[in-house]
Amino acid sequence: MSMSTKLLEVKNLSVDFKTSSGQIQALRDIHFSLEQGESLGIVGESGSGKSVTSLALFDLLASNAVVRSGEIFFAGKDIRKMSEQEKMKLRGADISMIFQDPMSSLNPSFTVGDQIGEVLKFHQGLKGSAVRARILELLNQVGIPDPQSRLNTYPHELSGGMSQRVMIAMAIACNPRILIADEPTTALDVTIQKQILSLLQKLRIEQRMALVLVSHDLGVIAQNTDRLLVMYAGEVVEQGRSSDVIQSPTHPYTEALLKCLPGLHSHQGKNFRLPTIPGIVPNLGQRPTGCQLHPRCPYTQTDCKQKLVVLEKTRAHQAARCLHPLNTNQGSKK
Amino acid sequence: MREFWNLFRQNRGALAGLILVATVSVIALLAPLLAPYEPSAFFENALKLPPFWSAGSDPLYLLGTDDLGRDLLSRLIYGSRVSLGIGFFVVLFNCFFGLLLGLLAGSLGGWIDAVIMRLMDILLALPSILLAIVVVAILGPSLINTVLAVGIITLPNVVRVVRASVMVEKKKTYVVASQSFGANWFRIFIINVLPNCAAPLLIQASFGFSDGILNAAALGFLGLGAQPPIPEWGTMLSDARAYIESAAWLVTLPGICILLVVIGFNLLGDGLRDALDPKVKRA
Repeated sequence: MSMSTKLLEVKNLSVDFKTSSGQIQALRDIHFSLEQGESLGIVGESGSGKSVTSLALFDLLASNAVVRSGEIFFAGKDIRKMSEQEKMKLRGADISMIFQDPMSSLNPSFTVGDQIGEVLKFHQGLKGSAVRARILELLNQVGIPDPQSRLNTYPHELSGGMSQRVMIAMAIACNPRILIADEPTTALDVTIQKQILSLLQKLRIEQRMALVLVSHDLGVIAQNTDRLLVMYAGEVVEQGRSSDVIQSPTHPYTEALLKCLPGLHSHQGKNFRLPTIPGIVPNLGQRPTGCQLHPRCPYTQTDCKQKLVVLEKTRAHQAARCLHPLNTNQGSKK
Repeated sequence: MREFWNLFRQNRGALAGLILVATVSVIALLAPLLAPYEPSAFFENALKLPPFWSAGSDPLYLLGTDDLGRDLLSRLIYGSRVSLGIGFFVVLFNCFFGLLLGLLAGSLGGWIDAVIMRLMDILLALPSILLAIVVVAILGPSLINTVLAVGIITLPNVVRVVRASVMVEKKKTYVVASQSFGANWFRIFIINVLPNCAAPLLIQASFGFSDGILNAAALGFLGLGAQPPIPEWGTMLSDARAYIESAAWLVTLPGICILLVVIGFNLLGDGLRDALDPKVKRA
């Protein structure tokens, strides 16, 4: 596929954070693309760089972040080379984002109507009754019952699920081409989680927008995305079609994550304990040499400890950052 | 709002403070209607008359008269205007500059923050009344300069309160969210963050009122505040100092007025804090 058709393309993105204990590498060589209407999942443990990646797409990293290398193309234009004005026009209109904690991502001092209205007035220049009509339409679209009466409620009067719906309404207000959902359901209970995820799917199809779903829950990602990226310690360790990656992971980390999912072990008997991945995510200030996973990987071989590993194609639509990938057609191991 | 009022109502002290403040405000507003005489009208035949409860009083002058034969009640009533006016303008001054500096320091951080806060530290390091005297000595004693002097010495408190709450607010997700919707600095901090800092500022303003009145009275007492014949309570106190043995009411009554107003605003501020700050709720 030629470059111009890609909606979003991230190339070799590396981000460092300056801290009091030196510079730490938060993202290393991130590379992915997104096409119109596609849904992409980003999965990983806490601290693996998922949120940094999504904020980087807005060029909204914390002030101590340094982008060491990389380009982020939105419809062929490098976001990082845009003027501040252009970026502000982009944010919220072409790319928008919803956050983990819906209760704190709405401003407590303003009503639901005011907050959605502000986005519409700012980006689309709507005025007066047109704003109100559009807000009602949006609230309807995200499945908020009785939108009329919700217009004048304050965020603290809403439940978590309702707040997230309001947030989604704000995010889709300007028909963005990309919606980034950073752990949109983590703070919500399971029944609401399902509703919000299917709402996001419905909106993605209706609006033909691309959806980036960020989560630490591989189950959520598997069911809701076409393609996925598995992140570990600021690197993409595996990417591919969601169904392929779930069925036959080629990176040991993905395999380990899958083993940790309940439900895949339904008939394991009474004394079965859910496996965990031993060890913790490396301290990004003191990264291990070679493969970042080697201290925790059950398949570690001597070369894993030294050799720099790059993302390489492992199967038809799959790539992994591993010297000894699993489940490959060549069957190099296992 | 209703929840706030319910919490506020349960606090007796706060309610008392509110009633005191409201009463004084009404008196100040209606001063020309309530006062029996002009504050600077002289009555040559009624010098240093005692108030109504002591012997030798004249029912025409309820709270007695001062050494120049001016009706004390009228002067106290008009004095409430001066004191509340000073308090109001001090708070206005504080809110404007406090918000401006606090917002800049809290939102921009870095060297701007450092410069603003070190300046405020310098102001705090000097004894406040001494600083006020310096300001008045430079500008000359008058009512407006009193407001300026008192405003400057109480400014650091407001700047600190605003800066602290801006710094707390800017870490919240809704700030990142509004950035992700394309908001610029002005929209984020002035429109989105500022209303969320209103509660601590309101509390500070209430204390600022009493601080302002007290400091202005102190300056007046030192002869550096409002100049005679303006019926400022502190100035009245200082004028009557010589008669503390012979006409004690001339000193006592303005003092009581200052006390009541200051207590009123402090109780009100405490009540506001209890009702608005969830951390001290039901302490």
